[in-house]
Amino acid sequence: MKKLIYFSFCFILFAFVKTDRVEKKTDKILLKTFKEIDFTKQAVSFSSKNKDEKWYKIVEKSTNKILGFAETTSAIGRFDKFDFLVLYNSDKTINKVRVLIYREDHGGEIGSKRWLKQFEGKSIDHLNTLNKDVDGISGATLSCNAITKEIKNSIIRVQKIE
Amino acid sequence: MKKIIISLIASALTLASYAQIGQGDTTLNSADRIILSNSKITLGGYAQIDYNQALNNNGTNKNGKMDVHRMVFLTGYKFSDNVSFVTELELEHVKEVYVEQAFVNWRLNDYMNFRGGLMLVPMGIVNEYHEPVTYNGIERPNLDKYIIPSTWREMGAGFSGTIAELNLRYQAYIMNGFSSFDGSAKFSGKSALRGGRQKGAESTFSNLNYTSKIEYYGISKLKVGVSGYFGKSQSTLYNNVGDENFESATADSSVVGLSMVSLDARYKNKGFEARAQYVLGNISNTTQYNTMLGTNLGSSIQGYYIEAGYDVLRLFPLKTDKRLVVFGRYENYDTHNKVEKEMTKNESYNRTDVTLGLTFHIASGVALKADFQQFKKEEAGSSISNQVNFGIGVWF
Repeated sequence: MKKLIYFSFCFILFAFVKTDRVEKKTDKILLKTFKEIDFTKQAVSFSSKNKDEKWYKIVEKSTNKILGFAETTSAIGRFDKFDFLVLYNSDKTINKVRVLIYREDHGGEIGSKRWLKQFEGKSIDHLNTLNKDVDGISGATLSCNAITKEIKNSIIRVQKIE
Repeated sequence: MKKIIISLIASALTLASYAQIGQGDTTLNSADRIILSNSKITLGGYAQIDYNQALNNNGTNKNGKMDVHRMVFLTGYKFSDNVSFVTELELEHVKEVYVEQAFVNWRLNDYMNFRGGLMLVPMGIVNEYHEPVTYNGIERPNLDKYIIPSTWREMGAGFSGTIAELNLRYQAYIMNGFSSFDGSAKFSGKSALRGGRQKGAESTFSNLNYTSKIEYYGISKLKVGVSGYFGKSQSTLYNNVGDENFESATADSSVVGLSMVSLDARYKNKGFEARAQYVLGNISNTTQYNTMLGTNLGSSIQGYYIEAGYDVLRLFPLKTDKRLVVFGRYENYDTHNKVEKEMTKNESYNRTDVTLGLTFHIASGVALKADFQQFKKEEAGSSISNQVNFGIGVWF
Protein backbone atom coordinates (compact mmCIF):
# COMPACT_ATOMS: atom_id res chain seq x y z
CA MET A 1 0.00 0.00 0.00
CA LYS A 2 2.81 2.38 0.96
CA LYS A 3 4.42 1.76 -2.40
CA LEU A 4 1.21 2.66 -4.15
CA ILE A 5 1.13 5.97 -2.29
CA TYR A 6 4.75 6.79 -3.25
CA PHE A 7 3.92 5.90 -6.78
CA SER A 8 0.90 8.20 -6.91
CA PHE A 9 2.94 10.99 -5.36
CA CYS A 10 5.67 10.79 -8.01
CA PHE A 11 2.99 10.76 -10.60
CA ILE A 12 1.34 13.96 -9.40
CA LEU A 13 4.76 15.61 -9.15
CA PHE A 14 5.61 14.96 -12.79
CA ALA A 15 2.20 15.30 -14.35
CA PHE A 16 2.26 19.07 -14.45
CA VAL A 17 5.71 19.78 -15.82
CA LYS A 18 5.04 21.33 -19.21
CA THR A 19 7.38 21.56 -22.17
CA ASP A 20 7.42 23.85 -25.20
CA ARG A 21 5.33 23.94 -28.36
CA VAL A 22 6.32 23.59 -32.01
CA GLU A 23 6.89 27.21 -32.97
CA LYS A 24 8.75 28.13 -29.81
CA LYS A 25 11.06 25.18 -30.29
CA THR A 26 11.60 26.06 -33.97
CA ASP A 27 12.58 29.62 -33.09
CA LYS A 28 15.03 28.35 -30.52
CA ILE A 29 16.74 26.10 -33.06
CA LEU A 30 16.87 28.89 -35.66
CA LEU A 31 18.43 31.27 -33.17
CA LYS A 32 21.07 28.68 -32.36
CA THR A 33 21.80 27.93 -36.03
CA PHE A 34 22.07 31.54 -37.23
CA LYS A 35 23.40 32.92 -33.98
CA GLU A 36 25.60 35.72 -35.34
CA ILE A 37 23.06 36.94 -37.87
CA ASP A 38 20.06 39.22 -37.49
CA PHE A 39 17.36 37.37 -39.39
CA THR A 40 13.59 37.15 -39.77
CA LYS A 41 11.40 34.15 -40.34
CA GLN A 42 8.82 34.76 -43.09
CA ALA A 43 5.89 32.43 -43.53
CA VAL A 44 5.46 31.04 -47.05
CA SER A 45 1.93 30.11 -48.08
CA PHE A 46 1.76 26.54 -49.21
CA SER A 47 -1.29 24.39 -49.76
CA SER A 48 -1.03 20.98 -48.16
CA LYS A 49 -3.27 18.14 -47.09
CA ASN A 50 -1.47 18.12 -43.77
CA LYS A 51 -2.54 21.07 -41.66
CA ASP A 52 0.65 20.83 -39.61
CA GLU A 53 2.83 21.58 -42.64
CA LYS A 54 4.25 25.10 -42.51
CA TRP A 55 7.01 26.67 -44.58
CA TYR A 56 9.26 29.59 -43.77
CA LYS A 57 11.96 31.58 -45.49
CA ILE A 58 14.85 32.64 -43.32
CA VAL A 59 16.01 36.07 -44.49
CA GLU A 60 18.90 38.22 -43.30
CA LYS A 61 17.42 41.54 -42.21
CA SER A 62 20.10 43.93 -43.45
CA THR A 63 20.71 42.49 -46.92
CA ASN A 64 17.43 40.66 -47.59
CA LYS A 65 19.55 37.66 -48.54
CA ILE A 66 17.93 34.22 -48.15
CA LEU A 67 19.77 32.18 -45.55
CA GLY A 68 17.65 29.12 -45.82
CA PHE A 69 14.22 27.50 -45.69
CA ALA A 70 12.43 25.77 -42.89
CA GLU A 71 9.54 23.39 -42.77
CA THR A 72 7.71 22.23 -39.69
CA THR A 73 5.42 19.31 -40.28
CA SER A 74 4.22 16.06 -38.76
CA ALA A 75 4.35 12.36 -39.51
CA ILE A 76 2.87 9.30 -37.87
CA GLY A 77 4.92 6.77 -35.96
CA ARG A 78 2.93 3.83 -34.79
CA PHE A 79 -0.17 5.40 -33.38
CA ASP A 80 0.47 9.05 -32.97
CA LYS A 81 1.90 11.92 -34.91
CA PHE A 82 5.16 13.66 -34.11
CA ASP A 83 6.29 17.13 -35.13
CA PHE A 84 9.64 17.84 -36.67
CA LEU A 85 11.62 20.57 -38.36
CA VAL A 86 13.56 20.34 -41.61
CA LEU A 87 15.95 23.23 -42.03
CA TYR A 88 17.52 23.87 -45.43
CA ASN A 89 20.53 25.90 -46.48
CA SER A 90 20.02 28.50 -49.21
CA ASP A 91 21.05 25.91 -51.84
CA LYS A 92 18.24 23.62 -50.65
CA THR A 93 20.48 21.03 -49.09
CA ILE A 94 19.40 19.93 -45.63
CA ASN A 95 21.08 21.83 -42.83
CA LYS A 96 19.49 19.83 -40.05
CA VAL A 97 16.45 17.85 -39.01
CA ARG A 98 15.10 18.04 -35.47
CA VAL A 99 12.20 16.24 -33.85
CA LEU A 100 10.23 18.89 -31.95
CA ILE A 101 7.47 16.97 -30.21
CA TYR A 102 7.30 13.21 -29.99
CA ARG A 103 4.07 12.08 -28.40
CA GLU A 104 3.84 8.34 -28.34
CA ASP A 105 5.89 5.99 -26.32
CA HIS A 106 7.37 3.85 -29.07
CA GLY A 107 9.97 5.11 -31.50
CA GLY A 108 11.13 8.21 -29.62
CA GLU A 109 14.69 7.20 -30.54
CA ILE A 110 14.38 9.03 -33.85
CA GLY A 111 14.81 12.25 -31.85
CA SER A 112 18.46 11.29 -31.42
CA LYS A 113 20.63 14.04 -32.97
CA ARG A 114 23.19 11.45 -33.95
CA TRP A 115 20.62 9.56 -35.96
CA LEU A 116 19.14 12.68 -37.56
CA LYS A 117 22.64 13.71 -38.66
CA GLN A 118 22.26 11.21 -41.49
CA PHE A 119 19.96 13.62 -43.28
CA GLU A 120 22.39 16.54 -43.20
CA GLY A 121 23.64 17.59 -46.61
CA LYS A 122 20.97 15.58 -48.42
CA SER A 123 19.23 17.18 -51.37
CA ILE A 124 17.13 16.33 -54.43
CA ASP A 125 20.15 14.40 -55.79
CA HIS A 126 19.78 11.81 -53.02
CA LEU A 127 16.05 11.28 -53.38
CA ASN A 128 16.13 7.77 -54.85
CA THR A 129 18.61 6.27 -52.47
CA LEU A 130 17.54 8.02 -49.28
CA ASN A 131 15.73 5.00 -47.85
CA LYS A 132 18.81 2.86 -48.23
CA ASP A 133 21.27 5.52 -47.08
CA VAL A 134 19.44 5.94 -43.82
CA ASP A 135 20.08 3.24 -41.25
CA GLY A 136 16.96 2.28 -39.32
CA ILE A 137 16.75 2.06 -35.56
CA SER A 138 15.74 -1.26 -34.06
CA GLY A 139 12.41 -0.89 -32.38
CA ALA A 140 11.59 2.40 -34.08
CA THR A 141 10.99 1.10 -37.59
CA LEU A 142 7.70 2.83 -38.25
CA SER A 143 8.92 6.20 -37.03
CA CYS A 144 12.15 5.91 -39.02
CA ASN A 145 10.22 5.06 -42.17
CA ALA A 146 7.70 7.80 -41.57
CA ILE A 147 10.20 10.59 -41.04
CA THR A 148 12.32 9.46 -43.99
CA LYS A 149 9.27 9.44 -46.24
CA GLU A 150 8.21 12.89 -45.09
CA ILE A 151 11.71 14.25 -45.56
CA LYS A 152 11.64 12.94 -49.12
CA ASN A 153 8.39 14.81 -49.69
CA SER A 154 9.90 17.85 -48.08
CA ILE A 155 12.92 17.77 -50.41
CA ILE A 156 10.55 17.69 -53.40
CA ARG A 157 8.48 20.57 -52.07
CA VAL A 158 11.31 22.84 -51.14
CA GLN A 159 12.22 22.98 -54.83
CA LYS A 160 9.01 24.90 -55.51
CA ILE A 161 9.84 27.70 -53.11
CA GLU A 162 11.42 30.74 -54.72
CA MET B 1 7.35 -33.76 -49.70
CA LYS B 2 10.83 -32.96 -50.91
CA LYS B 3 9.43 -31.88 -54.26
CA ILE B 4 7.17 -29.33 -52.65
CA ILE B 5 10.01 -27.89 -50.63
CA ILE B 6 12.36 -27.74 -53.59
CA SER B 7 9.78 -26.01 -55.74
CA LEU B 8 9.02 -23.51 -52.97
CA ILE B 9 12.71 -22.72 -52.60
CA ALA B 10 13.04 -22.40 -56.37
CA SER B 11 10.13 -19.99 -56.56
CA ALA B 12 11.54 -17.97 -53.65
CA LEU B 13 14.82 -17.63 -55.55
CA THR B 14 13.00 -16.65 -58.73
CA LEU B 15 11.14 -13.98 -56.79
CA ALA B 16 14.41 -12.75 -55.38
CA SER B 17 15.91 -12.40 -58.83
CA TYR B 18 12.94 -10.31 -59.89
CA ALA B 19 13.55 -8.00 -56.99
CA GLN B 20 15.30 -5.52 -59.23
CA ILE B 21 12.28 -5.07 -61.45
CA GLY B 22 9.97 -3.51 -58.89
CA GLN B 23 11.30 -0.09 -58.04
CA GLY B 24 9.46 2.99 -56.91
CA ASP B 25 8.61 4.02 -53.45
CA THR B 26 7.70 1.29 -51.03
CA THR B 27 7.67 3.15 -47.74
CA LEU B 28 4.52 3.62 -45.75
CA ASN B 29 2.03 6.09 -46.91
CA SER B 30 2.28 8.30 -43.91
CA ALA B 31 0.24 11.06 -45.52
CA ASP B 32 -2.78 8.78 -45.48
CA ARG B 33 -2.06 7.93 -41.89
CA ILE B 34 -1.85 11.61 -41.02
CA ILE B 35 -5.29 12.22 -42.42
CA LEU B 36 -6.56 9.37 -40.34
CA SER B 37 -4.77 10.77 -37.36
CA ASN B 38 -6.25 14.20 -37.85
CA SER B 39 -9.57 12.42 -37.60
CA LYS B 40 -8.26 11.05 -34.31
CA ILE B 41 -8.35 7.38 -35.21
CA THR B 42 -5.29 5.38 -36.23
CA LEU B 43 -5.70 1.94 -37.72
CA GLY B 44 -3.06 -0.68 -38.27
CA GLY B 45 -2.37 -4.35 -37.98
CA TYR B 46 -0.02 -7.22 -38.45
CA ALA B 47 -0.26 -10.85 -39.43
CA GLN B 48 1.89 -13.95 -39.33
CA ILE B 49 0.96 -16.77 -41.70
CA ASP B 50 2.93 -20.00 -41.41
CA TYR B 51 3.60 -23.28 -43.07
CA ASN B 52 5.59 -25.57 -40.76
CA GLN B 53 6.87 -28.86 -42.09
CA ALA B 54 8.65 -31.25 -39.76
CA LEU B 55 11.09 -33.31 -41.80
CA ASN B 56 10.95 -37.06 -42.19
CA ASN B 57 12.71 -38.65 -39.24
CA ASN B 58 13.59 -42.36 -38.95
CA GLY B 59 11.18 -43.22 -41.73
CA THR B 60 8.11 -41.69 -40.07
CA ASN B 61 6.08 -39.30 -42.13
CA LYS B 62 5.16 -35.97 -40.59
CA ASN B 63 2.20 -33.89 -41.68
CA GLY B 64 2.76 -30.23 -42.27
CA LYS B 65 0.83 -27.48 -40.57
CA MET B 66 -0.63 -24.42 -42.25
CA ASP B 67 -1.73 -21.76 -39.90
CA VAL B 68 -2.85 -18.17 -39.84
CA HIS B 69 -0.84 -18.02 -36.66
CA ARG B 70 -1.86 -14.56 -35.61
CA MET B 71 -3.68 -11.64 -37.06
CA VAL B 72 -3.80 -8.48 -35.02
CA PHE B 73 -5.78 -5.31 -35.47
CA LEU B 74 -4.37 -2.14 -34.00
CA THR B 75 -6.61 0.76 -33.17
CA GLY B 76 -5.55 4.00 -31.62
CA TYR B 77 -7.79 6.85 -30.62
CA LYS B 78 -6.50 10.26 -29.77
CA PHE B 79 -8.59 12.21 -27.27
CA SER B 80 -6.32 15.22 -27.13
CA ASP B 81 -2.82 16.19 -28.09
CA ASN B 82 -1.46 14.20 -25.19
CA VAL B 83 -3.99 11.53 -24.36
CA SER B 84 -4.52 8.46 -26.46
CA PHE B 85 -5.90 4.96 -26.15
CA VAL B 86 -4.09 2.09 -27.83
CA THR B 87 -5.46 -1.38 -28.47
CA GLU B 88 -4.33 -4.54 -30.19
CA LEU B 89 -6.98 -7.14 -30.79
CA GLU B 90 -5.59 -10.51 -31.73
CA LEU B 91 -6.95 -13.55 -33.49
CA GLU B 92 -4.66 -16.47 -32.80
CA HIS B 93 -4.85 -19.62 -34.93
CA VAL B 94 -7.96 -18.07 -36.51
CA LYS B 95 -10.28 -19.04 -33.66
CA GLU B 96 -8.84 -17.70 -30.42
CA VAL B 97 -9.54 -14.08 -29.61
CA TYR B 98 -7.29 -12.07 -27.29
CA VAL B 99 -6.78 -8.49 -26.33
CA GLU B 100 -3.05 -8.13 -26.59
CA GLN B 101 -2.77 -4.53 -25.46
CA ALA B 102 -5.28 -2.00 -24.22
CA PHE B 103 -3.90 1.00 -22.42
CA VAL B 104 -4.25 4.72 -22.05
CA ASN B 105 -1.13 6.73 -22.77
CA TRP B 106 -0.96 10.16 -21.23
CA ARG B 107 1.98 12.22 -22.41
CA LEU B 108 2.91 14.34 -19.43
CA ASN B 109 5.87 16.15 -21.01
CA ASP B 110 8.76 15.50 -23.38
CA TYR B 111 10.27 13.04 -20.95
CA MET B 112 7.42 11.15 -19.45
CA ASN B 113 4.26 9.27 -20.27
CA PHE B 114 1.83 7.71 -17.87
CA ARG B 115 0.40 4.41 -19.02
CA GLY B 116 -2.29 2.23 -17.57
CA GLY B 117 -4.20 -0.85 -18.68
CA LEU B 118 -3.19 -4.10 -20.31
CA MET B 119 0.43 -3.70 -21.35
CA LEU B 120 3.39 -5.70 -22.62
CA VAL B 121 6.04 -6.65 -20.10
CA PRO B 122 9.19 -4.96 -21.43
CA MET B 123 11.39 -8.06 -21.23
CA GLY B 124 13.83 -8.87 -24.04
CA ILE B 125 13.39 -7.86 -27.66
CA VAL B 126 10.60 -9.87 -29.23
CA ASN B 127 8.01 -9.58 -26.47
CA GLU B 128 7.71 -5.89 -27.16
CA TYR B 129 8.74 -5.72 -30.80
CA HIS B 130 6.78 -8.71 -31.99
CA GLU B 131 5.54 -7.59 -35.40
CA PRO B 132 6.61 -10.37 -37.79
CA VAL B 133 8.52 -8.13 -40.20
CA THR B 134 10.77 -6.88 -37.38
CA TYR B 135 12.40 -10.25 -36.68
CA ASN B 136 13.94 -12.99 -38.79
CA GLY B 137 12.49 -16.48 -38.94
CA ILE B 138 8.92 -17.58 -39.35
CA GLU B 139 8.46 -18.41 -35.69
CA ARG B 140 9.62 -16.20 -32.85
CA PRO B 141 12.78 -17.42 -31.12
CA ASN B 142 11.92 -20.25 -28.72
CA LEU B 143 13.80 -18.41 -26.00
CA ASP B 144 11.03 -15.85 -26.31
CA LYS B 145 8.48 -18.60 -25.82
CA TYR B 146 9.81 -20.81 -23.03
CA ILE B 147 11.89 -18.42 -20.92
CA ILE B 148 10.18 -15.13 -21.76
CA PRO B 149 6.60 -16.24 -22.39
CA SER B 150 5.81 -13.98 -25.36
CA THR B 151 3.42 -12.36 -25.84
CA TRP B 152 3.68 -11.61 -22.12
CA ARG B 153 1.25 -8.94 -21.08
CA GLU B 154 -0.32 -7.99 -17.80
CA MET B 155 -2.56 -5.39 -16.26
CA GLY B 156 -0.78 -2.49 -14.62
CA ALA B 157 0.28 1.12 -14.63
CA GLY B 158 3.47 3.09 -14.73
CA PHE B 159 5.74 5.46 -16.56
CA SER B 160 7.66 5.38 -19.76
CA GLY B 161 9.54 7.92 -21.76
CA THR B 162 12.57 8.96 -23.71
CA ILE B 163 15.33 11.20 -22.38
CA ALA B 164 16.68 12.39 -25.71
CA GLU B 165 19.66 14.21 -24.19
CA LEU B 166 20.93 11.00 -22.62
CA ASN B 167 19.84 8.70 -25.47
CA LEU B 168 17.79 6.68 -23.01
CA ARG B 169 14.40 5.14 -23.14
CA TYR B 170 12.88 3.83 -19.96
CA GLN B 171 9.81 1.99 -18.77
CA ALA B 172 8.77 1.24 -15.20
CA TYR B 173 5.50 -0.39 -14.29
CA ILE B 174 3.75 -2.03 -11.42
CA MET B 175 1.79 -4.99 -12.66
CA ASN B 176 -0.28 -7.95 -11.82
CA GLY B 177 1.84 -11.08 -12.31
CA PHE B 178 1.52 -14.69 -13.35
CA SER B 179 -1.11 -16.89 -11.81
CA SER B 180 0.52 -19.93 -10.23
CA PHE B 181 -2.64 -21.55 -8.95
CA ASP B 182 -6.30 -21.21 -9.84
CA GLY B 183 -7.54 -24.64 -8.81
CA SER B 184 -4.67 -26.39 -10.58
CA ALA B 185 -0.96 -25.75 -11.09
CA LYS B 186 -0.23 -23.20 -13.84
CA PHE B 187 3.55 -23.63 -14.03
CA SER B 188 5.42 -26.66 -15.30
CA GLY B 189 8.97 -27.84 -15.71
CA LYS B 190 8.84 -27.91 -19.49
CA SER B 191 7.31 -24.55 -20.31
CA ALA B 192 8.10 -22.88 -16.97
CA LEU B 193 5.91 -19.80 -16.48
CA ARG B 194 4.14 -19.76 -19.83
CA GLY B 195 0.95 -21.40 -18.57
CA GLY B 196 0.57 -18.78 -15.86
CA ARG B 197 -0.02 -15.79 -18.08
CA GLN B 198 -3.31 -14.19 -17.14
CA LYS B 199 -3.61 -11.97 -20.23
CA GLY B 200 -5.92 -9.57 -18.49
CA ALA B 201 -8.83 -12.01 -18.52
CA GLU B 202 -10.50 -11.69 -15.10
CA SER B 203 -7.02 -12.03 -13.70
CA THR B 204 -6.43 -12.89 -10.07
CA PHE B 205 -4.52 -10.26 -8.15
CA SER B 206 -2.88 -11.01 -4.82
CA ASN B 207 0.70 -9.71 -5.14
CA LEU B 208 2.21 -6.63 -6.78
CA ASN B 209 4.93 -7.18 -9.36
CA TYR B 210 7.47 -4.69 -10.69
CA THR B 211 9.05 -4.48 -14.08
CA SER B 212 11.38 -2.05 -15.72
CA LYS B 213 13.48 -1.70 -18.82
CA ILE B 214 16.16 0.77 -19.78
CA GLU B 215 17.40 1.04 -23.34
CA TYR B 216 20.42 2.99 -24.44
CA TYR B 217 20.84 4.07 -28.05
CA GLY B 218 23.71 6.54 -27.72
CA ILE B 219 26.20 4.38 -29.60
CA SER B 220 25.67 4.71 -33.30
CA LYS B 221 23.82 1.79 -34.94
CA LEU B 222 23.61 -0.09 -31.64
CA LYS B 223 20.82 -0.39 -29.14
CA VAL B 224 21.22 -2.16 -25.83
CA GLY B 225 18.62 -2.94 -23.21
CA VAL B 226 18.45 -4.17 -19.64
CA SER B 227 15.15 -5.48 -18.28
CA GLY B 228 14.08 -6.68 -14.89
CA TYR B 229 10.97 -8.29 -13.47
CA PHE B 230 10.44 -8.92 -9.77
CA GLY B 231 7.54 -10.18 -7.75
CA LYS B 232 5.41 -13.07 -6.62
CA SER B 233 2.88 -15.08 -8.52
CA GLN B 234 -0.84 -14.85 -7.85
CA SER B 235 -2.99 -17.53 -6.28
CA THR B 236 -6.73 -17.87 -5.86
CA LEU B 237 -6.12 -19.49 -2.44
CA TYR B 238 -5.56 -16.08 -0.85
CA ASN B 239 -9.21 -15.28 -1.18
CA ASN B 240 -11.08 -15.26 2.15
CA VAL B 241 -8.21 -16.47 4.34
CA GLY B 242 -7.09 -15.04 7.65
CA ASP B 243 -3.49 -13.97 8.15
CA GLU B 244 -2.22 -16.56 10.61
CA ASN B 245 -3.90 -19.85 9.92
CA PHE B 246 -3.42 -23.10 8.10
CA GLU B 247 -5.09 -21.94 4.88
CA SER B 248 -2.71 -19.05 4.60
CA ALA B 249 0.27 -21.43 4.83
CA THR B 250 -1.26 -23.52 2.05
CA ALA B 251 -1.77 -20.38 0.00
CA ASP B 252 1.88 -19.47 0.55
CA SER B 253 2.90 -22.83 -0.91
CA SER B 254 0.89 -22.17 -4.04
CA VAL B 255 2.90 -19.10 -5.03
CA VAL B 256 6.49 -18.69 -6.16
CA GLY B 257 8.77 -15.67 -6.13
CA LEU B 258 10.21 -14.60 -9.43
CA SER B 259 13.13 -12.40 -10.33
CA MET B 260 14.10 -12.22 -13.94
CA VAL B 261 16.69 -10.16 -15.73
CA SER B 262 17.43 -9.85 -19.40
CA LEU B 263 20.14 -8.19 -21.46
CA ASP B 264 19.70 -7.53 -25.14
CA ALA B 265 21.52 -5.83 -27.97
CA ARG B 266 20.61 -4.99 -31.53
CA TYR B 267 23.03 -3.78 -34.15
CA LYS B 268 22.29 -2.50 -37.63
CA ASN B 269 24.84 -1.19 -40.06
CA LYS B 270 24.00 -0.84 -43.74
CA GLY B 271 23.08 -4.37 -44.84
CA PHE B 272 24.34 -6.08 -41.72
CA GLU B 273 22.15 -6.77 -38.69
CA ALA B 274 22.74 -8.69 -35.52
CA ARG B 275 21.01 -9.24 -32.23
CA ALA B 276 21.68 -11.07 -29.02
CA GLN B 277 19.72 -11.71 -25.88
CA TYR B 278 20.37 -13.31 -22.51
CA VAL B 279 17.70 -14.10 -19.92
CA LEU B 280 17.98 -15.48 -16.42
CA GLY B 281 15.03 -16.14 -14.14
CA ASN B 282 15.27 -17.28 -10.54
CA ILE B 283 12.21 -18.86 -9.02
CA SER B 284 11.90 -19.26 -5.24
CA ASN B 285 9.66 -21.50 -3.16
CA THR B 286 9.66 -24.19 -5.85
CA THR B 287 10.08 -27.06 -3.36
CA GLN B 288 6.81 -26.17 -1.61
CA TYR B 289 5.11 -25.45 -4.90
CA ASN B 290 6.16 -28.73 -6.52
CA THR B 291 5.37 -30.78 -3.42
CA MET B 292 1.94 -29.29 -3.01
CA LEU B 293 0.94 -29.50 -6.66
CA GLY B 294 2.97 -32.43 -7.92
CA THR B 295 4.78 -30.47 -10.61
CA ASN B 296 8.45 -30.19 -11.56
CA LEU B 297 9.08 -26.47 -11.89
CA GLY B 298 12.78 -25.59 -11.99
CA SER B 299 14.27 -23.08 -9.57
CA SER B 300 16.19 -21.30 -12.31
CA ILE B 301 15.49 -20.82 -16.01
CA GLN B 302 18.02 -19.45 -18.43
CA GLY B 303 18.68 -18.94 -22.11
CA TYR B 304 20.39 -16.90 -24.78
CA TYR B 305 20.50 -16.45 -28.50
CA ILE B 306 22.73 -14.79 -31.01
CA GLU B 307 21.66 -13.94 -34.52
CA ALA B 308 23.31 -12.32 -37.52
CA GLY B 309 22.03 -11.49 -40.96
CA TYR B 310 23.02 -9.68 -44.12
CA ASP B 311 20.97 -8.10 -46.88
CA VAL B 312 22.49 -9.82 -49.92
CA LEU B 313 20.79 -7.46 -52.38
CA ARG B 314 23.39 -4.92 -51.24
CA LEU B 315 26.00 -6.95 -53.08
CA PHE B 316 24.42 -5.99 -56.39
CA PRO B 317 24.12 -2.51 -57.83
CA LEU B 318 20.32 -2.53 -57.72
CA LYS B 319 18.18 0.52 -57.33
CA THR B 320 15.73 -1.08 -54.96
CA ASP B 321 14.35 -0.65 -51.48
CA LYS B 322 13.77 -4.39 -51.20
CA ARG B 323 15.93 -6.40 -48.86
CA LEU B 324 16.80 -10.07 -48.91
CA VAL B 325 18.27 -10.96 -45.54
CA VAL B 326 20.15 -14.23 -45.12
CA PHE B 327 20.39 -15.02 -41.43
CA GLY B 328 21.41 -17.58 -38.87
CA ARG B 329 20.41 -17.89 -35.23
CA TYR B 330 21.79 -20.07 -32.46
CA GLU B 331 19.80 -20.38 -29.26
CA ASN B 332 20.02 -22.35 -26.08
CA TYR B 333 17.38 -22.35 -23.38
CA ASP B 334 16.87 -24.46 -20.31
CA THR B 335 13.79 -24.44 -18.10
CA HIS B 336 15.66 -26.71 -15.68
CA ASN B 337 18.79 -24.59 -15.45
CA LYS B 338 18.68 -25.36 -11.74
CA VAL B 339 16.30 -27.45 -9.64
CA GLU B 340 15.94 -27.85 -5.88
CA LYS B 341 18.07 -30.66 -4.49
CA GLU B 342 15.16 -33.08 -3.98
CA MET B 343 14.65 -33.13 -7.73
CA THR B 344 16.76 -34.28 -10.64
CA LYS B 345 17.18 -32.12 -13.71
CA ASN B 346 15.29 -33.18 -16.78
CA GLU B 347 17.90 -32.71 -19.50
CA SER B 348 15.27 -32.79 -22.23
CA TYR B 349 14.34 -29.27 -21.06
CA ASN B 350 17.81 -28.07 -22.04
CA ARG B 351 17.27 -27.29 -25.69
CA THR B 352 19.42 -25.94 -28.49
CA ASP B 353 17.92 -24.63 -31.72
CA VAL B 354 19.69 -23.59 -34.87
CA THR B 355 17.77 -21.60 -37.47
CA LEU B 356 19.03 -20.69 -40.93
CA GLY B 357 16.87 -18.79 -43.34
CA LEU B 358 15.85 -15.96 -45.60
CA THR B 359 13.71 -12.91 -44.97
CA PHE B 360 12.71 -11.18 -48.16
CA HIS B 361 11.30 -7.72 -47.50
CA ILE B 362 9.35 -7.07 -50.68
CA ALA B 363 8.03 -3.77 -49.39
CA SER B 364 8.53 -2.03 -46.12
CA GLY B 365 5.90 -3.87 -44.10
CA VAL B 366 5.73 -7.15 -46.00
CA ALA B 367 8.21 -10.01 -45.68
CA LEU B 368 8.29 -13.44 -47.27
CA LYS B 369 10.21 -15.84 -45.11
CA ALA B 370 11.76 -19.30 -45.40
CA ASP B 371 13.90 -21.10 -42.89
CA PHE B 372 15.33 -24.39 -41.75
CA GLN B 373 15.40 -25.29 -38.07
CA GLN B 374 17.19 -27.96 -36.11
CA PHE B 375 16.10 -28.80 -32.57
CA LYS B 376 18.33 -30.67 -30.18
CA LYS B 377 17.74 -31.79 -26.60
CA GLU B 378 20.58 -32.27 -24.15
CA GLU B 379 19.06 -35.54 -22.89
CA ALA B 380 21.15 -38.63 -23.69
CA GLY B 381 19.75 -40.66 -26.56
CA SER B 382 17.26 -38.07 -27.79
CA SER B 383 17.23 -37.57 -31.51
CA ILE B 384 17.67 -34.37 -33.43
CA SER B 385 14.58 -33.12 -35.24
CA ASN B 386 14.49 -30.90 -38.26
CA GLN B 387 11.84 -28.62 -39.65
CA VAL B 388 11.38 -26.23 -42.55
CA ASN B 389 9.07 -23.26 -42.38
CA PHE B 390 7.65 -20.89 -44.94
CA GLY B 391 5.75 -17.83 -43.95
CA ILE B 392 4.43 -14.40 -44.64
CA GLY B 393 4.74 -11.47 -42.30
CA VAL B 394 2.75 -8.27 -42.73
CA TRP B 395 2.72 -5.04 -40.76
CA PHE B 396 0.95 -1.80 -41.56
